[in-house]
Amino acid sequence: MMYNRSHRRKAVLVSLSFLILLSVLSGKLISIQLFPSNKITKLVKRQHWTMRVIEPERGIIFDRAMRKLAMNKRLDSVYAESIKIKDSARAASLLSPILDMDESVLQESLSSGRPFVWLKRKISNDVSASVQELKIEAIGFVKENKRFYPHGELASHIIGFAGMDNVGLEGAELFYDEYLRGRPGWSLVNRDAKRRPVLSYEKDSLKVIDGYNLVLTIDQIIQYIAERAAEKAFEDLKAASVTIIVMNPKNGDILAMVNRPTFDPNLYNNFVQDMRRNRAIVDTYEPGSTFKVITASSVLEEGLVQLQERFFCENGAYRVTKGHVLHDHVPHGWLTFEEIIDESSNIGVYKVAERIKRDRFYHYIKGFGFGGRTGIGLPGESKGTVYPISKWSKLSMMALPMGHEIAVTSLQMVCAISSIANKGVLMKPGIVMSIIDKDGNIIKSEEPEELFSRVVSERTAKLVTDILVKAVEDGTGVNARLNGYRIAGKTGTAQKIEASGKYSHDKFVASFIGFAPVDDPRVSIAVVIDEPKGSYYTGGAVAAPVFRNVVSEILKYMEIPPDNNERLIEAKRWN
Amino acid sequence: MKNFILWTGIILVIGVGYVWQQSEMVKVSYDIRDSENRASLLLDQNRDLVYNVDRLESPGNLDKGLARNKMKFEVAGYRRVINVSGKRESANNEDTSEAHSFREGLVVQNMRDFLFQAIGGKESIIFNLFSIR
Repeated sequence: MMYNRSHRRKAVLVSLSFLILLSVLSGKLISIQLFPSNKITKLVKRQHWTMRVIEPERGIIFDRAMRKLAMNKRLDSVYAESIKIKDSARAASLLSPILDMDESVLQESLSSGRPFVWLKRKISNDVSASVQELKIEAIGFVKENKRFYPHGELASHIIGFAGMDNVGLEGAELFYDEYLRGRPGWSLVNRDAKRRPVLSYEKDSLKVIDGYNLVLTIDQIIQYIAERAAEKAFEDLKAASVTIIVMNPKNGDILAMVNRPTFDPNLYNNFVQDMRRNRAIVDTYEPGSTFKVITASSVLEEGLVQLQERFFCENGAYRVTKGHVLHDHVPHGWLTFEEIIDESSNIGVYKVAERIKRDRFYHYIKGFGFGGRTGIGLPGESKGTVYPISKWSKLSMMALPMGHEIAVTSLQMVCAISSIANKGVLMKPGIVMSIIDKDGNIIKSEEPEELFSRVVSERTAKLVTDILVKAVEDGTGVNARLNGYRIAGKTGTAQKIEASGKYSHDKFVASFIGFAPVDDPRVSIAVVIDEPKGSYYTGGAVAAPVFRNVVSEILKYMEIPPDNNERLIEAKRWN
Repeated sequence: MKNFILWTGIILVIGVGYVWQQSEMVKVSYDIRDSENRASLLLDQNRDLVYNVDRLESPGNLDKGLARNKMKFEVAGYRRVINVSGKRESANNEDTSEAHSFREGLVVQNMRDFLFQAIGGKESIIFNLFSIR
């Protein structure tokens, strides 16, 4: 009996103890479940939940015919959980030749003790496969988007490039980065014991938005035609640089923009900044005689001169002021105004320009877009240099009409000649046609826009065009003449300024601006060759032939039939 | 007692069902993830191939390839273009009716011209850039 009672008491005590213990544990569990402390919550979240960042795909860049100029590929980036690596020296020696990295640098990363360290990002598929074959513990891979440019150097200065983190660093990639880059998405994902995400336990996600696509005004084939011509001129003339711009004068679309030297955006790190600079919009130069187009337009628009009016050109040398003698390359006697422009007589232009008032001339210079950015939509555009009238010297009205004492960009020159081609209306140059989403819906469309209101009247534009046609047919621009088509154009040869501030006698900028076909202009082109070497250095000798080659190919490509006379000759050939 | 066993059984079945459903969800999520990975791999391969096609079709690349065989790459003149498909890309999507009718009327001449080039210009082969795509 005693035994039973004692036994029962003990049993009750034990049961009670267990009950109390269970109650405490249950209470604690309930308290943890219902009223968790911040510390525990954080710990659990860190162990079980991970944020999955979803990288957006950068928008594709197309040319006007929807041919890809910039696209993305997904490549492996290799990382190490160095904290888990036991033999970092061996791992470094194995990885070094495959990743093409210094062994000591690799070992430093592998033995850093950090939970995550990049070894090399965006490696090729072959390299990735080789690393995976090594089966080194704690070496992992993450897929990342990398920008690729399938045409290499083609249009590299326009397209620019995006860096390692897919952020635009140059060209359209930089200027339109906001549209191209998209917005990353993320989601909170539960992960299992092996740290793999369990998709069924997703919460709080933000949808990824891919970047918009960019449709450029560039035509890949026209760009290539210009690239090939620029490359040839650059090599043949051993020039410091060559720039070619092709523009549709009617709507301002830039069809091609080429610079030499150039670079491959796929390997942008291998090229110095000087080669990556878009000289067409950044570099300025004294335009020389090509600027006589602006002078001629101004005096004609003001009604100060007639085409057949004659001026004495002083047989090649004219003392303008004491100590300043103006020279012509070729001595001329009496020339009509038309001939002055065709033969590019400096003395003649000076005498004509004496008739225009300074403020009116300044008005036209600004009206043609000089001294201001065109707003083309590419980074780093220069304004050029146009001094205000208050800073003009006594010699300014001698220098400016023939394209000195002013600095312009090649883009400004092609815009100016385009305004003549476009009946006196200056269009804003554009590099982007539209911004579209993945499904092709237009997000933003760039409509043709007038840069300023009309620069000169249609009549003046027509008169200047006639002068420029003669300049090509009989004047300094004969090397730009193309059988079957009427071409308008003007040559320019400007001495460069030395560091001493004096004009150089062996460094020139040779240029040619023009458009074709004259009756219905489809393209206007500027060719600028900086420091051509050799005995031929004038715009007519070196830039005009480049213009002819480019325009000839472009007109064929655009299927523009030759002018009527030529067509008749061709027809007779076959009948 | 019967009720106790019944309710215990029901709760057990519900519990087991819930656990089974959860494990199936995890399994399916693994399958989804594998499928996503496979799809991603295929898309990556597709991207690589598209890139290679674009790179190979690049005019610069074609030009270099032809130059190796001592051939010159030229833009075809308007009289040397034979439009088979009836559709073609244009530089500015404009095709004047004048140019179009003129081209149509010259198909035979195009052929003759092409043959003339093929026979006469041995080192100069005229390519129509439009027909590349």
